[in-house]
Amino acid sequence: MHAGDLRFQVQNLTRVEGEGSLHLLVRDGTVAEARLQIFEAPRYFEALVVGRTPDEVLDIVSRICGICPVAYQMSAVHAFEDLFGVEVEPATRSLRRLLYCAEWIESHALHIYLLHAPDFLGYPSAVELARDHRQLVADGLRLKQIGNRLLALLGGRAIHPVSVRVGGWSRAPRRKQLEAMQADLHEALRLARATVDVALGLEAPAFEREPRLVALHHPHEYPFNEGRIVSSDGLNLAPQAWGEAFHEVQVPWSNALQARGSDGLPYLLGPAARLVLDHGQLHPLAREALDASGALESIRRNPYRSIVARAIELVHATAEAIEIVDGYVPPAEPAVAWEARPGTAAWATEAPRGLLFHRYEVGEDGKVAAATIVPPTSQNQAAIEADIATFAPRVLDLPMDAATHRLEQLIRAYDPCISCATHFLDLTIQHEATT
Amino acid sequence: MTAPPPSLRVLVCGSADRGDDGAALQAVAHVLPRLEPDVRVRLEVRRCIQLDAADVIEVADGEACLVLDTVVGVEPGAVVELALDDLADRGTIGPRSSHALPIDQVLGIARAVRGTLPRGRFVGIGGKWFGFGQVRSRALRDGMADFEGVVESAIVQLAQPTLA
Amino acid sequence: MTALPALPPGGEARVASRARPRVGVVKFASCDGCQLTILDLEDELLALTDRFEFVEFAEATSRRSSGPFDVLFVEGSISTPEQAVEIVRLRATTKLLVTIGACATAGGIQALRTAAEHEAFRAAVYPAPSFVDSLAEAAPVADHVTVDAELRGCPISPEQILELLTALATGRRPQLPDEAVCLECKRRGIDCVVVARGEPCLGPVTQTGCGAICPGMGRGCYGCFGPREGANVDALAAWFADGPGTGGLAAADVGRLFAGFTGASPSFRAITDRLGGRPPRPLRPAVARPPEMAAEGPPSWDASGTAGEDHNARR
Repeated sequence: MHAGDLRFQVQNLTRVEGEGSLHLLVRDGTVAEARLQIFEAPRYFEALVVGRTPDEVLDIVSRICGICPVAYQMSAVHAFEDLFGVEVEPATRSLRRLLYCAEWIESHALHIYLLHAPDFLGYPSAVELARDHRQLVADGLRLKQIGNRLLALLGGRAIHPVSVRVGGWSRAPRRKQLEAMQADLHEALRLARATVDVALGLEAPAFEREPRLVALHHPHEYPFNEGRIVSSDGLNLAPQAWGEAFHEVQVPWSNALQARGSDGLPYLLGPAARLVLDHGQLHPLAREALDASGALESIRRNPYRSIVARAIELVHATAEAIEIVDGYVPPAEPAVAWEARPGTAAWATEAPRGLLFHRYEVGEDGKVAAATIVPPTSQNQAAIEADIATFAPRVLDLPMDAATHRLEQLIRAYDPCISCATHFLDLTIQHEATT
Repeated sequence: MTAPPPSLRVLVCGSADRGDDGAALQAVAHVLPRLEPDVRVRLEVRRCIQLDAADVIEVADGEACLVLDTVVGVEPGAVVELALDDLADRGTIGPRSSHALPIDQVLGIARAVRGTLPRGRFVGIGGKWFGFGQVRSRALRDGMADFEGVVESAIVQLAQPTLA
Repeated sequence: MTALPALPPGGEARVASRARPRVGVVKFASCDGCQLTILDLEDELLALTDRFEFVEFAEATSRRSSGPFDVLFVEGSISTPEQAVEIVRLRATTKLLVTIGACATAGGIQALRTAAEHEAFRAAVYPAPSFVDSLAEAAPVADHVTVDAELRGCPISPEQILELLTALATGRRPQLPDEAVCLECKRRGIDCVVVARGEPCLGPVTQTGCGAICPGMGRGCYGCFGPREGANVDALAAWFADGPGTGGLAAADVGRLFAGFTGASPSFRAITDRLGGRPPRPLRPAVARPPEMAAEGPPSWDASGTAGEDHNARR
């Protein structure tokens, strides 16, 4: 043990939102502090939506995330519709689920194949992986492309959709347009099922803990836009009532806010949480894949097994997309009429990375007066730090490069909303001697 | 009369509402109307916010590919041009997005999956302001005429049918 | 924008050496928007009438056009056999023929293609609904006659007209600015959302390049790309406020439309400054900073405060 700081600069990709950094304070071989800064909550956007009408808010919040813009629009639009008492047509509801299927497909495929799989197979990035496993990467890209195509069909473009409106859609697709996607979607289902096998074949580092899991739960469907907030320890809340069980705290060492349970403890969102809490509502094909894998328990306890969870959700999303397209009848009107009402609009939906909560104060003038947006990644940060604190002692004796890489791999298992670069982490380890 | 199959795929990257990030989109909007009809008919223009490996992989054998984007790592307003293969080998020109694989990785993946990269070039202009709603920076605006000129020549060159 | 120098006071002073060029403005099948932008020029129009002789400014179908012209501006698309004959006749009467606006340059009033499906729209806008049917095959002027220059946009900006006339007067090549999103809509065959749906859309004043995604999905452009040079934002703002089609918006609502992502651009900002409607920008984040601080030390899964148990052994 030597006194003083061990600082190390790792090359990182500058992001618009900030850089990835992890500062560890180690005392007597245990981690006394794990300060992870990988995601800035979207304070800028909370300010930007003030004074805007609900439809304008939808355009703005989709910019918060380039990889899950649909999620931000879905949480926002449902919050407003809940407050205004808007009932959308069943076809609209189905189309919104279809839109989320498309986003899950695109996001999960990207993460599994291009970001996470290289870690397991010992490649520095997807490029090297592609050289040795061409078909594997081609399959992942094809899945992502199909997701993007469906997104573009419904939303106008694959990123930052433009057609989601309060009350429904600015334009609803014709049946023929969706039917034209069916061949692709069947191919995507086939690829998704193959992805489960691939994921199961990847050897996960042995690391387990007992996390507290939180997700939406709906009695009849795997959760996207509707459901109550439930947890692995008995929580059961209306989606508007996130604030009754969770809140944001300020970490002492930065301006960032993190979310915690009311008891101050961390909790975990995302595919693992959803599978554990909602596997009864999976599409039969996905349920079959999960049961055949026998992996549910390891998914619950080992963060590295999230890749299997995502693969199973890929099966679900592709299978459900096929069903929605099969049964699609265009709505009589793409959107229903609505009128703003003052009050508090709040809702949670399931982004690819986990539960995304929005709350808006709407004024007498029908415009937003204040906003709270709590993304899944900022809710997961405490969970990631808790796991890093447990895991890090294993890597402290490794050379800095190797230690950084192992910690990046652990963080990547949570699919956080950060730079997708392989090397994103600025790691510093401070050793304090106590003798 | 049927149109000939496209001989050049133009992949235009960037986001219109992020200041300098919209430079490629704008350049294409200016250049397209200036092109001769027999060049324009050979083009397939795709707008992508970020370059996706699938877009490059899809380029047919015998089709060329031109990728356009704003870049960081060079002087704002400066125009860079290089072959796609060279860009895939390098790694110094990065995207300004937190949710994109770096462009060199995208091309590297595309090359590994497709076997080779299509005949083609990357043309970029250095950018400075990428925030939402920001206007295009002065440095970039000053470089746009150059950028458009290089884009136009690249299109005309690459759209030539080859004997290969 | 180029300002034409005023002639010296003293009444009927004429340009010394030669007669003023004769200018005509005629209209085929279109919405009048382009002509209105010329009329919006006001002061400049006065200076223009000193420099040019506006001999004609009426609908082509009324066949009052006298000619000959030095410059003939043509608005609107050719949609009936009579119009096809008339444009050929007009071509012969003018030295220069300049098409103005998306209808004349790109052809077809695309918005009205679906007007046939909207009975209420037809009845409201066209006293003779059968007229709408005849517009289905509207062609650009250039399909019928040679065109010397095009001013694009929907509507065109008066600065473009000014620029063209100034260039003609001084014998130089006109510099024409960026295209509007409207042109992309016309190329793609997208219905104009303002005309067909009453949706406010910033397309006419926004630089193109995006591929007109938003109108393509049935909603208005919100100006991502920022204003194009020479955009007639004032006329568009007035158009939203007065109707038609949008039903008339309150001044502050119009102002807020221009206060989107690109609202800081000078021409957009000028509208919001004038009409109001700029959303307040709080200096602090909208969420009050919570008083609670996280506990010291890394988070742990249980309340014991230890960093959690590594369940390795049990696996």
